[in-house]
Amino acid sequence: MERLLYMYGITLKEEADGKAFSEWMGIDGKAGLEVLDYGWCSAIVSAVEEEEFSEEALEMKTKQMEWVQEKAYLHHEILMSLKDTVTLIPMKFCTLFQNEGSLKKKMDAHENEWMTLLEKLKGKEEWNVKIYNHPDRLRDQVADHHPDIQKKKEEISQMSKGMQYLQSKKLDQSIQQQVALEQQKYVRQLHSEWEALCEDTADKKVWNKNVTGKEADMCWNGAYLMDLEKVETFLKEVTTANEQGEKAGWEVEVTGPWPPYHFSSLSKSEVR
Amino acid sequence: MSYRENFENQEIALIDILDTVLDKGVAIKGDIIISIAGIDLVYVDLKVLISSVETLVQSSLDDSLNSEAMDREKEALARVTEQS
Repeated sequence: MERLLYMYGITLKEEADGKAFSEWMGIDGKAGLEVLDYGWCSAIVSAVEEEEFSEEALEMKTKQMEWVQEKAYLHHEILMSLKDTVTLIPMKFCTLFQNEGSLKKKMDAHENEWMTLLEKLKGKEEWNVKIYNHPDRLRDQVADHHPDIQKKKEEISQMSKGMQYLQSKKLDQSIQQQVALEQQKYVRQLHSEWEALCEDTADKKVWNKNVTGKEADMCWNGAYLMDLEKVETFLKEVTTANEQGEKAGWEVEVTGPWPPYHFSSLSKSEVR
Repeated sequence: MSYRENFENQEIALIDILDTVLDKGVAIKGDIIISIAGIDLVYVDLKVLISSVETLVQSSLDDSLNSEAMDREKEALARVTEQS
């Protein structure tokens, strides 16, 4: 019988051997995880039902935000547990195969690439960093001390009332731009310090306030892949950055370790 | 005490999880095409068009779909998963 398979990730066969993954629940909350071996690599999958994961079913399900949230969360939870147990190439949400035949084809065709990637990921962790800034303090500082802004203020004070109004508006914009520049300078400095500790780094999209729901500006969002033994130094630097930046409105938020989602792309960016 | 203990496995916002699992991880050519919020996630030819959760949020009619609202739902989800 054909089985629809949901794939969570790929690991080394030698690491997967002897692990009791079948006791772990899959994304449907029913079937246990299975390890299917293909040469040196193993695919971690679970059987799922057509009613929920066939192409037609997903067409419907993915329109339901609740379903997407619940399943994406489960996908992540399963990957979090997997990455604690084996070196893992994490799959995207809803990577599905119609049957074992099509999975085998994929696994066999890319065995060498999986091996290279797994060697790269071995003994490393992904950590994510978001840097926020409450800009009030920075804005005051720029408004009161930045030489260009001071010069403009001086010029404005000499103008007529009408001109003053227009020019103050412009001045506010200049201050805003200067604040953004200062923010970028600050986060780039921190990023380059952390980058030095890392095997690899990835920029993530900086979210606007609609997304974060925070008062503070998000100024940086990035992912860092580093050797296990560098993690402590990295986290120490983050702690120091938080202590030193707190008064000026800076906040560094670290999460991890994550499955290496951001460092699992193959040299050919697409796997056909 | 290690710094790791301070940071490890801290609460992660659901929106961060969604942004990552929908967008990152290996894009492998599976057999199924799905579409989220009208954006095709085309695993068949791997043109992964979804850019980020921001797109999801903006395409949602419901303004309450922000980080805070999502975290409330995540708490609810966590309870369900613990029970199962």
